Amino acid sequence: MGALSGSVTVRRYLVRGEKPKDSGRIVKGARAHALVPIDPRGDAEKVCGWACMDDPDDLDLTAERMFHGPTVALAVRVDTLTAPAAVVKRLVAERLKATGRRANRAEKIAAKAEVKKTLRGRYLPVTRAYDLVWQTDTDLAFMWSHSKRINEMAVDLFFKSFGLELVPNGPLFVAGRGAIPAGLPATPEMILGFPGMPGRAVDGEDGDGAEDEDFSEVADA
Amino acid sequence: MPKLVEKTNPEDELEDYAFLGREFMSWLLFRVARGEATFEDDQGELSFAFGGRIRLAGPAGDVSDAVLKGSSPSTSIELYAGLGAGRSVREAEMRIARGEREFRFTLIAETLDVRTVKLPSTLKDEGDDRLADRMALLEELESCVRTAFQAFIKERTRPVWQRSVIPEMRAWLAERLKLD
Repeated sequence: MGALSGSVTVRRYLVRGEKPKDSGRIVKGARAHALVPIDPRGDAEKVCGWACMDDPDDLDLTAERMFHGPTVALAVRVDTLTAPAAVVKRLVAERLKATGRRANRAEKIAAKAEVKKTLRGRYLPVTRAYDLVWQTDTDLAFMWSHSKRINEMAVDLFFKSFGLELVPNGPLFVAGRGAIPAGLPATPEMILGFPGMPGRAVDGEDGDGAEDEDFSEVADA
Repeated sequence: MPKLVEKTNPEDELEDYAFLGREFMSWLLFRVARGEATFEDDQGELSFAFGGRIRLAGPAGDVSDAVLKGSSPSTSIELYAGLGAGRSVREAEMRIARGEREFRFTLIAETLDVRTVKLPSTLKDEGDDRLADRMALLEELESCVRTAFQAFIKERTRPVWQRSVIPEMRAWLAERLKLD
């Protein structure tokens, strides 16, 4: 499920900061942070970088592949190379047992690191790709995932690549500039329950005096 | 007046004005029940309806989360009881109809993000136009949600909210729960 097909699950962002003046700089920023595949001989367990949206296996980012009019289409690709935890646990236990004595903490950590390193060559990285669409004309970005971790990775990658911040487009921005006055309190009845209703958290009336608050001037602005 | 200490997931508090998203969902349920969930923007009228799944959550009590599923959870006694007791809608399956088009999706209250959106089938098959077409439809859906949310904010920031809307919501819940 992504930007090009299937049902849509997106998190929306406002793009903040000074946008690059020409598309070449955007392509350059993306290419500079294109995914570098995991080297099984190295130590990295997880890498993250840009890939082409229409084919996340393709890391050759060009203007033709990225730009659809004013819209930039990319994929945030995350590769992970880890051996299954149960296999690591079993092999570490076997290794420690072979020493014939009770291992201390440092020995356990060293054995685990060694087992993980040995196993790296036997497994292939798991690849996941999440679409990201940036509308440069409206300064909006759409990330095709609701996962907090993936969204944090995307925000970080976007900033490193383009020097621009992705700000979640929540109720404050949906309402419009200045529509929600600062300090607007929550409605008591919608937290504590409505007076006289079964299961209400507190007794008595609430919201007393709240009717005197008028924020309409701000809302009309 | 009791002091308000809203207990929510710490993650929720990172979202800006998440409580307004939750209040918006309760207000929308109320408007749908009264047959007043039709709004108008520069492209014409659009109407909201709730679908077959609603997730409620509350700050306290024996039940913190409740998922209501069925043919019409938005008119269920469980929903009225939950809202009356101070629980709020965290996400709900919804439909928006605009002319012959219908969007089906799940709306997340705290962020107003959408999930599992089924876009209307007015799309071309392949090629560059596909992304543009899908983004245009997604923007249309965003615009519909924005229109309804802005209508809510207009009521929410005026004295009419506490003077009329909240008492009317209470009366609606009491009537459905056969109280008073």
